Amino acid sequence: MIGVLRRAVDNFLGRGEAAVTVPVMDGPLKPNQLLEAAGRVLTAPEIDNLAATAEGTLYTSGNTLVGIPGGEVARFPSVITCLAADAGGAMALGFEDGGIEIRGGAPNGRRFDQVNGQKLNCPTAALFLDASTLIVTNGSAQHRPLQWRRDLMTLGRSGTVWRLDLSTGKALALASGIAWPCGIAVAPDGRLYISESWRHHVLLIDAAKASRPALALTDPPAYPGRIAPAAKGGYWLTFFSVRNQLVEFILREKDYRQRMIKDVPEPFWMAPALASLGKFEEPLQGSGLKQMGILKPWAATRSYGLVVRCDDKMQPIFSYHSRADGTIHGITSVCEERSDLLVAAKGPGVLARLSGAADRPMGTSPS
Amino acid sequence: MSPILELRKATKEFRGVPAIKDIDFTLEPGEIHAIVGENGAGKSTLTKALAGVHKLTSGEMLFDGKPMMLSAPSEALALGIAMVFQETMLVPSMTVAQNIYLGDEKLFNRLRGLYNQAQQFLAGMNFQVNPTALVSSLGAAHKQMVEIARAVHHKARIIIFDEPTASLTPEEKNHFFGLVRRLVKQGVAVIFISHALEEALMLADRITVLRDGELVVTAPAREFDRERLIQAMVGRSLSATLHGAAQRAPRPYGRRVLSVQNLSSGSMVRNTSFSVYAGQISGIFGLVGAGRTEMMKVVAGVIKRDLFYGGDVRLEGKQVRYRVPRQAVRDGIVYVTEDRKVEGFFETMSIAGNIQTGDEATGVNPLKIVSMAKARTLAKTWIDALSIRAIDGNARIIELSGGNQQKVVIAKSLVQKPKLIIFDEPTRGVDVGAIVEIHQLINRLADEGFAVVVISSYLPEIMALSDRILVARQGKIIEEMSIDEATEQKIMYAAVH
Repeated sequence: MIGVLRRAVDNFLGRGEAAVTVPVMDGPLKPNQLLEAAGRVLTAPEIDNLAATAEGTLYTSGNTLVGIPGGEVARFPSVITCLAADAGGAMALGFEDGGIEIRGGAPNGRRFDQVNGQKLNCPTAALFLDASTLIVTNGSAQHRPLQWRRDLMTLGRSGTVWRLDLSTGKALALASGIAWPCGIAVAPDGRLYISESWRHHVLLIDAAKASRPALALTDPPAYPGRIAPAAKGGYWLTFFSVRNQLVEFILREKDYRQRMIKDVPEPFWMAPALASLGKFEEPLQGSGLKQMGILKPWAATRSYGLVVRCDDKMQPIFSYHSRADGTIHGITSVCEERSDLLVAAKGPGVLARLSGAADRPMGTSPS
Repeated sequence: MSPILELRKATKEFRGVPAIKDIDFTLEPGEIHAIVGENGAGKSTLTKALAGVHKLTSGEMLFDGKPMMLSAPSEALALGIAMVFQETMLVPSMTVAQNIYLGDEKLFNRLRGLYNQAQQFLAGMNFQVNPTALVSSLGAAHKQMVEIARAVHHKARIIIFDEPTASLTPEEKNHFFGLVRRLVKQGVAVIFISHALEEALMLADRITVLRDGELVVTAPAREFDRERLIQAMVGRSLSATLHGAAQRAPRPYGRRVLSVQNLSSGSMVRNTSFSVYAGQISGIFGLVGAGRTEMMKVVAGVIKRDLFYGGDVRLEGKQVRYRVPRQAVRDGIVYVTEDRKVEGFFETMSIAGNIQTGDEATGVNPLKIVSMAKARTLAKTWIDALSIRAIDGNARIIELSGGNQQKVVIAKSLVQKPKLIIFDEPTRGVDVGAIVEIHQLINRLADEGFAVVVISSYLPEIMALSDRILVARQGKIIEEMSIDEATEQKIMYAAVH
């Protein structure tokens, strides 16, 4: 009862969740154009899922697994949505039509479409803890990976983090009720960092048993995605799109959202995007938002490019940006290659290289 | 035309420290003369000397070509020199008419007659102010009008305006400029102090730039542009030598302790957003009226944000909203005030008593039973830690120097075990030696991992202390600079554009 009253008061006064505010990009997230200025390595449609292996770096383009160097490695019937590589040569691939498949290593050929009676319908990230243990995030119980915008706009909170024993097939839910988990990394103390996109957190959970998630990074101004460890310590955290007040406002307006989902084609929703479609039917980039009687002059940016260097505790140290007027947007994956950082910009389908980024000591600024 | 007012080699010292030094200044009849300079440049001292508030230490003042020596504001007023302060000097509980005629009352006053006279007088100046209204009910612009009416009523030949537009809306400013031009047409000479350079450039006939108490240049306004003014204002560097410009790498970012999102509070804080990080000093620079103090006072619960859509303040990720500072103190936010004498300490109490009150505000002692022995021990700890120069904790705080008083105020805050410490003008009214010590203390706090905010309108201080600089203008943080990319020119440019 008190909760209902509080929500009503908050809605009336514009407080609490109804405040519709977004943190500013300042401090270590202060915008620059370093990502936009990064060298372009190649273009590939829907480039995603960078992974370092002994033979070189792998990436996926739609349903194709590609190596650098070497070209196409394998082609699959469905779009590859996540990829993990083990030091022993095993690979785990997640697919748009659901399921995880293991290639190489001891459990070669095993496939997991269901775990503990629940469908792995939305594999968004995977990580080998060891040769026979795989951590998989299932982004949503209702939607497929490419329906991420729909999951956001329906306020999806049904993601799960699974621990799979590849030899026995046993599975353990480490955390559930997560709002689109889509990034995993091992923390220095052996626990797991999980990025929870729709609630804008990076969580810290136990790697061996179900536990209550702790918050490692709270309230960034963008949607956190994949996490990659950095050789010099700390992590690379990708953000596939930025938050803005207009989308935050729409997320509060149930009727509006329902009508938008029903009547407007998905690419034209006022929702985060990996890149601009370059079509006039897109929602206004010049913005027409009026707040408290004032026409806001800012553009409601839907797509953005952001890669953040974090320390061991997942606190941002500095960041690489491609701003609203740039093109390297929709960063879904990064991977170190010697002293450089490879960046997969899924929005425009570009693989970019940040020269020397991986060599930079943790406390120094790139600019 | 001979000047109506002239200063020759005017010097005013406070305890041997010159606030203005060898100033030569002239004011022509019917002239608008703008005086610009940073905070602490000596603008207020100069104008207060002209208005009889301060007596010159040396130098000569001439009025209509005749030497004069003012020892009280009433003498200046009698000569026709009136000063309109930024904070109005009106009596809020009295009506507009009573304020206009204050000091000019007859033995028996008929209120209705007074109101009629005031009505005619205000109408004659085209001021739309109700003479029967209480001053406390008026807005800033109307109060300004009453101040001007009062000055004109006293047949002022010179009116000195100190930051008259700081709290006015653009519309009110235009109205004010119209008033000033009308006064000038009537032969009144106007001295106009402003931080808004475009106003000085637009309104003034001549501009005088002061820096570190010395006159840098006086020239017709048409010979200036914004860049030249800024250069003249900041191109020192006596002060830079004093504070030592930062020649160091900024401290790395720690965890985000404070996130302010779209915060609004009245007309002073307007939809501003910024963050503060642990282990760093975030400097906030802005000119008077930029809203920098107000935004941090909202964070610390001293003033409230707007009732509707006032924005969001998050302390370590948790939404917070304080009605009183005590709640903020308990959450680890402390605000070291810019006005220590009024808000910082209890002047009748000892050092120990003051530090003890800080400790009590944390709520760790709900029964309020105070052990004086414990309070003295606590005071001794902080006296030693902050090198407060006093015989012991029983010394009355009012007997200490400004620097040591400030250290007690800081100790009173640090005893509250904060996560975030906000220093507002930490070295205002503090001697040079204590400035260095307070700067060292602030640096030490940041090195120990505290999130530190320093608000200052003094550029060398901001440059010397900050790891990152946030520039406030018109109620908003509008620019962020790392110390390794900031220059005084860049900061000042951001603050005035």
